Amino acid sequence: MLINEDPVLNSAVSVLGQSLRETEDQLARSMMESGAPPINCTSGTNGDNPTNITPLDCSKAVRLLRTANAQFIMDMIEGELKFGTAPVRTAFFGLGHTNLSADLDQMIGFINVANYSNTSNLLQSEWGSIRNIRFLLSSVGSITPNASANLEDVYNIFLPGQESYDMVDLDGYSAQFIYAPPEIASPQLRLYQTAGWKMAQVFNITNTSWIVNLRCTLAVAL
Amino acid sequence: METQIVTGGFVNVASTPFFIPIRCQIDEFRLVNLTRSGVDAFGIAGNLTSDVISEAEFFPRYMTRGTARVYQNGTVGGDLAPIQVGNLPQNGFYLFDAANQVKGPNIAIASFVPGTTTVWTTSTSHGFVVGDNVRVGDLTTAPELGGLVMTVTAVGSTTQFTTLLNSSNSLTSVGTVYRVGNAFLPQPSLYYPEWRAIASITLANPMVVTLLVRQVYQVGDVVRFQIPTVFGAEQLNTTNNGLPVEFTVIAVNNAVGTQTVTLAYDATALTAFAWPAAASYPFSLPIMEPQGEGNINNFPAYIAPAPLPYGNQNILGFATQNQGQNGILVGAGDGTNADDTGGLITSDVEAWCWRAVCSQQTFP
Repeated sequence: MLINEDPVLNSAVSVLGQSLRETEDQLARSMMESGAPPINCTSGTNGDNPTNITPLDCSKAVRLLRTANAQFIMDMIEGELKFGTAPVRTAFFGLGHTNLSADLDQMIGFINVANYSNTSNLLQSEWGSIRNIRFLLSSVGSITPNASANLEDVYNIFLPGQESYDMVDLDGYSAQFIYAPPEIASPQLRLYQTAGWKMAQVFNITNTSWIVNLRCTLAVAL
Repeated sequence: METQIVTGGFVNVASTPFFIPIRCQIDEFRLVNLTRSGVDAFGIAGNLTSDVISEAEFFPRYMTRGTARVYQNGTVGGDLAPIQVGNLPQNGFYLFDAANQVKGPNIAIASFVPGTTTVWTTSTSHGFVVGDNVRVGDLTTAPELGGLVMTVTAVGSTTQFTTLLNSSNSLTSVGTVYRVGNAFLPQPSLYYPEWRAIASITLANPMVVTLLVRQVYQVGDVVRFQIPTVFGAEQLNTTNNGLPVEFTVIAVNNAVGTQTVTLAYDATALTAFAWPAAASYPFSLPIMEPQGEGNINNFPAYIAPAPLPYGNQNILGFATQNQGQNGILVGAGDGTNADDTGGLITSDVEAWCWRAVCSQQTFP
């Protein structure tokens, strides 16, 4: 009898890889929630504190970082002769939650990644840019629930400059993928195999002057 | 899955909830007040007492969070007391998962009294205890205070509590308050150290900063400030040359209700710090930001130099720590099962022992 088997392990490896990286994101996110100095968006019009995000709030956050001599993460993308595209400034990354996408789209001057003059080397999570910030959005982005003046959810957008935080691996315990074949996982009858990952690492802010938590609420309701 | 039985004991701090870190999944928890059972333990003399809870149980799968099945002493006769069984409706047991912290219920604020500290009055029983961190919001005539998290420093009654916020420039307001956590528990953001919002700054030499939420800073820590100009004290901020203006901690009082940090700095010439009125809304928070650690021997005018190596020793006070952990919180109240005021831990220092029946998940 012939049996066609799905490549279960291949699928598992892919999913476990995503699980590992999202876990790392969550650890880094929580560390930044604790230590990244917060500034509120105050130029929006939703009547809350912090307000919804505006281009002026982005400029203020960048000004704070640049005055503290924080270095940009990304180089400029030069303009090219392509219809509907625009150059992108040198930029800090803005690490936020995917719920922010509609509010970002509403900002005058926001450039979606589709309108970058050069779309090579983009990260999958990049949503677009405005002023000197390129936004990376994730479902594990930071939200502080019921924390605004009107007790709405507050979205934390972290703007790290170069060398503002680091990751320390316990020696020999950086991310490891561990596969146990049936001979090891179930030696009696060799019924199943296992795959998993483990790591021991901590994220740490190295200079609080080079990172900002830009806090905002939503103008576009969920 | 396998079963574990975990046991332990502790001495409580008066009127303060006690957190017991337990890694495994708790299925059953039993707590005994040894002191109120008349048992000598942990150096505390037994004191068999009438009408107080002497034992409590919690079955998380079946019982409401924050409650307890309690055994309360009846009237003591000689060396024994009869036992009565009942339900403690609040300040019982709370399973705690630092990564999934549960906010408390929204409670209506009827008013507050603006002042150098703020007394808040709720419309219904708040159930807070000293040390709880609470967030206020929806303050219709004081929106500038909305969203603040503060530690409860006193509980005047079931409908009154006090925080260190200096609200002198604000108007009283209705609003909403809810419990975020407790100053003695890992904070929702998990990691230490955290920035802290400033309640007030004393223009003195040395400068004393009071914080809205209890902190756990220590002598030798270095901080910097980020204060919006509407608050004053802008001299403390990083200057236009980009170099952070840093301050070394020379004394701390981390007690709930005091929450001060003393810094090696002459603040007598500072612009006064004050929470602004509603007209300045919205604005950012005035914060004190952990920065690193310094050498306290650099400040002989404020603090006696310590002999080497202590003055130069790495205290690692602001080393990053992930404080996430699971466990169970034992609530505090008046030691009875009374509605509103009841709770397990009392205003006395007592000896306790406990037992948890847990499930330990294992992997092949």
